[in-house]
Amino acid sequence: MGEDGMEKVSKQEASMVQKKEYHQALEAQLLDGEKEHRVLAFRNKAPLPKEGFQNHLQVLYTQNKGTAPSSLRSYRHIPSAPERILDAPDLLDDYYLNIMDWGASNVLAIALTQTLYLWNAATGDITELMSVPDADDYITSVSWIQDTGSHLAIGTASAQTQLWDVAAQKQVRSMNGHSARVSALAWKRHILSSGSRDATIVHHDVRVQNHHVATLLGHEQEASTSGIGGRSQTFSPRHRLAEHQAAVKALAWCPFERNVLATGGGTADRCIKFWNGANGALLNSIDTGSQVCSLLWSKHEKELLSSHGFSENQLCLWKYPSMVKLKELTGHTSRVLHLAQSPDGASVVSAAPDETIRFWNVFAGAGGERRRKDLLWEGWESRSCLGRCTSDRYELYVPCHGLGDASPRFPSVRLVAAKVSTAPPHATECCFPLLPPLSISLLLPCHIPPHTLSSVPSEDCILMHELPPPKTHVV
Amino acid sequence: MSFAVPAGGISSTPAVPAADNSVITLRGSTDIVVEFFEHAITCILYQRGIYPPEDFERKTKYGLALHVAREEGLVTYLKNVLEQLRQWLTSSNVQKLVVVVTGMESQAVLERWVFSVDTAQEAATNPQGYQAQKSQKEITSEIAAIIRQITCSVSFMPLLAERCSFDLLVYTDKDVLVPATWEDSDPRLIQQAEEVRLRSVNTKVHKVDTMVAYRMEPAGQG
Repeated sequence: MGEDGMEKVSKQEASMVQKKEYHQALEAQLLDGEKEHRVLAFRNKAPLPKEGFQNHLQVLYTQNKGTAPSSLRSYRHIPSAPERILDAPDLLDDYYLNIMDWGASNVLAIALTQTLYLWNAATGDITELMSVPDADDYITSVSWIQDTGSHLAIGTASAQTQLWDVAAQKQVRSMNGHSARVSALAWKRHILSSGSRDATIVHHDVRVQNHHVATLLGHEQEASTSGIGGRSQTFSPRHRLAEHQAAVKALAWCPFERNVLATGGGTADRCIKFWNGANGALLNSIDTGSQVCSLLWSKHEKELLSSHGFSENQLCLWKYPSMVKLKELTGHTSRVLHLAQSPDGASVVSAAPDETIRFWNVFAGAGGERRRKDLLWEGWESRSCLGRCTSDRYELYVPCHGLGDASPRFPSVRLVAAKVSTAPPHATECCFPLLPPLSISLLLPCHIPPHTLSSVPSEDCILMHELPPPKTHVV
Repeated sequence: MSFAVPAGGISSTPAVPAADNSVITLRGSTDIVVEFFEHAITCILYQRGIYPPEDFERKTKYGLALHVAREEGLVTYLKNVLEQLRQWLTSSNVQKLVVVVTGMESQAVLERWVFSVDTAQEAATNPQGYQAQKSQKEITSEIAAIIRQITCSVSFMPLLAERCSFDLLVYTDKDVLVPATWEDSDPRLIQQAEEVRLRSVNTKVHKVDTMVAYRMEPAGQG
């Protein structure tokens, strides 16, 4: 009995201990390992900061705000003002003309009614190339030959297509084939295509006497040409793109995407449309809100520039293919009929019947020297010269101050010679890009001091660009 | 109370070189910790911009240029709280000291600076006899490291855009003696807070861990 009682008590004690342990464990779990506690605070609180006091760290944080990644949208600066404005008196207000072109030789050709002016972008010189003799005649289109910019094709209201040698300032030939004014011109190597109000497009091979090689029919009104390829020499149109509701003057083939054509419609249409040139499918269409006068693709970025008429007379820069409007450039006071791009792709010139032509730095900083994509090869030719080869140019550099780790990107190296393709386009077709750089180094031995480079037989067009100053030259 | 420190304080008598291990008692450690709390709190108040800079004055401490409170009300408040804290520390009743920063418009707790105090078991059971050894230099460098981290907190913590007030909460044991000037308070925790653990200081008697919790979005937008 007594033993039993003792046992009971000890059992009870054991269960009490167990319970207590259990409680402690439970507490520890529930309270996250924290001990039992009281949270106490002093009744008289600390004084409040002064009324109207603003945290002085505000400055620090607002200055940091700009670098916060969430708000960061890096994009190059596009100046909204033109870089230069030139007067262009008597510029015709005719939607169907193409009277401005910027050639590969960095010369801008612009026709002001009867006279054709050349503006050299490098020097700023203005030359009067020619005038049409007849009083009712006027120039309706101009186009530079591709690649070299040595020749200029001029179309007139008297249905003539003329070819001019610009360096000699002489007319090379005159070609017929149309019965009305020649309002559009485009080159493909030696083939010149001319579009006319007689609703035909004629291909001329400018090398041969019998220049007329093909005629394209199918238009009912004045034809516009834009870089028509030599392969499209069919006599009837391959596709008929009939979505636009008004005249289509603005045409531009996309330089970075095969077969993409951008077109812009006139006042009643106001749309920019994108087409697949291979099958004629409409890819995209956006309403711009005003007449589209001209379209231009960027050479470096996936961007498109369009020029517009009433009411803003603005230029719009679009991102392709999202067609987000990046920038609007205003300044012209009448519709911006013509656009042309500089050969380096950095500047754009616009012409309007408000008798001004304006130069815009739209694409400056895009591509360019900063990231030349077309650099094919770069390396040391010998111990003293550095060579580099791009798709159209071979350049040789001599360091000014010894060798070091100089490269064309660094200013301690000077360009002394460059090979450019100066032969007529048809002769260089497969000549230059395939020419290995090493064969040029044979042609131009590097032990020859750079200042005698001009005396190297330059049959294969080695050009002297700049001589390094003799005193700093160390070889 | 703490004026009779020599017996318990750090015995930095000339006979003992500074670099040597100093004997630390509970009393002495309490003085170090309270002083550290005072500087840490004023550092938070200054660096987080809770009070305008003119309410502080510069002072060199722990080898750092610090800002200590000059504004009368603030000085009095800190003195009162720290004096009571000292008593609780001496009786080993303090678990945590928390600096709570509250937005005055949003009434939301924006920041919570937590100093967890861990008292060595032997020191709590034998407050008179326990002695620990640690050089003063080492403790000072540990404290300086925490103060530096508080100073650096500006770089990762969000701006306190509105006018803010602060409060000091003391977590004590249940059986503590509470004067009438003190009251129980809500812990005022922050929901879904970002937490950053800072360094800790150890006097071998008290170990103080530092942690800051803060609201990521400004009040009213989250």
